[in-house]
Amino acid sequence: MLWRQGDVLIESIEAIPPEAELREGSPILAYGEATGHSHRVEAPEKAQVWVLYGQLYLKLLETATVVHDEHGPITLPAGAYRVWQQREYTPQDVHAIRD
Amino acid sequence: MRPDEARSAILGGTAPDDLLVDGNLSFAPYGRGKSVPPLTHLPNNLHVRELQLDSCGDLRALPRGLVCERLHIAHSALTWLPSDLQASYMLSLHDCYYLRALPHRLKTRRLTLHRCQRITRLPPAMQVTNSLCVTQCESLEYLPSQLKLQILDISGSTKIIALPSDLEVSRRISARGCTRLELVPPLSTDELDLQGCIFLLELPDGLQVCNLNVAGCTSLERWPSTGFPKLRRLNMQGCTRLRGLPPGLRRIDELDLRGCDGLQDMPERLRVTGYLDIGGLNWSGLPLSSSGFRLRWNGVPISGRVLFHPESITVEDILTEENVEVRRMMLERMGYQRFFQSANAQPRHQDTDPGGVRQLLVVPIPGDEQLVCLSVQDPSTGRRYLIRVPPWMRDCREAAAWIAGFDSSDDYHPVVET
Repeated sequence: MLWRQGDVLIESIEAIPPEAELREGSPILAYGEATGHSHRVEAPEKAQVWVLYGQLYLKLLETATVVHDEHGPITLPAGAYRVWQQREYTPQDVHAIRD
Repeated sequence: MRPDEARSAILGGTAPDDLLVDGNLSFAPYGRGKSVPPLTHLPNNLHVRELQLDSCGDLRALPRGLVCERLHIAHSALTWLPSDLQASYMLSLHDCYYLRALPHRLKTRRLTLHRCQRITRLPPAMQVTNSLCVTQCESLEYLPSQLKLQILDISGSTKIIALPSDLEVSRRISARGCTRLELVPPLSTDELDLQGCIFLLELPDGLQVCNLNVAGCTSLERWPSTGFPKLRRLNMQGCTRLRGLPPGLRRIDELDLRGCDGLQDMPERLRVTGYLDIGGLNWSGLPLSSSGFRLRWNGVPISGRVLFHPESITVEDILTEENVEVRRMMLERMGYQRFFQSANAQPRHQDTDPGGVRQLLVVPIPGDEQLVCLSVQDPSTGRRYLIRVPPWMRDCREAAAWIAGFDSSDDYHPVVET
């Protein structure tokens, strides 16, 4: 299953890769550098963010809601997720959208 | 007794009264093995550093003589708390729907009540010394008098009409979304957040704040005649009835005037040192004396040229801007029609998605590959974005899937888009 909140995509997966490393700090999934708004899990105690080669993974220990100041909330059941941002094309390269 | 031993004894029903636990205890249904019984009671005179009770619906009462530093209770069926309860550092109650009252002589450093919908008032004799957070408690009508705190948060407690006249809060008061709040006393605090207090008509003379947020206070008509001598940040977004800035304001770090249609211009002598947001205002310029701050339009950094002289924006300006938010705002200022006309854009495909109509537009660029953009409207904000995709994209579905990271539109089927 796949969800989209603004420029952030969240896909349910079987499990987080065992090589991934736990990222300390609050469960922010993406941060808007122009607006200062972030995509984040509303209840930090319910979430862990894992990283492997720059790829973000989210582990929800129970049902939790991903919130953003401008986009509608998305409630997800407990489980493992892959999280990434939309991309944009330029003739030079393809990069994640910057907002 | 060690916490793991104590926990097993309590769940097994063998824990004695007067139990002293050397650490923290946590009871929650998730993660519990199927063979472990639910928590139904705690021993009397239990002493523990921190006790967490989350979704322990079979626990119908707390024991006599419970002593802890921190007590967290969430999603509970408790209807009352014992009068001799001691939680010296923190008492946190979340979603305790059936709880009707707190102990009369409650004494703690931090008290949090979140979505405790049957609490109508707090005990007059309670002693909370650091922070009181009573959020989304929609039956709470009054706060007790003689509160002396560092932090007070009553956000979303929509029945509260007045803050107590003798309230003392040194650091921060948040009454965000207290839609019936009408009276704020002349207190002195660092930060006052009154966002969305739509019944608030005025603020009192003598109110002293450093950071003030009155965004969305759509009934607010006048400022105190005394002004705010210590004010450093002011957010008055959407205060459409205000006709000016607080009296005596000469210098401020951050000023958010988005949608303040009653303001005609910036005072000549006001100095802004951080940022100024004038999103949605139809101003033709700023005073010549205005300089040294960052200008914003609805939260997005913007140059004075783009803001006040949109006719000077060129297609090239927009295409070379790397930040999608800045580019979107430049597009808005220039106007989509003029952009696509100026750029000689041709629609390659058009359909609809949850945001509305979307178009795959092609702009021929002499001597370079075609510029192909998907023009989409955000389903939450209604803003239109233009996102560049590879020139070989054939239709909107393929382009949207590519933007989401999929090379085939058959693989892209989001269940929810917000």
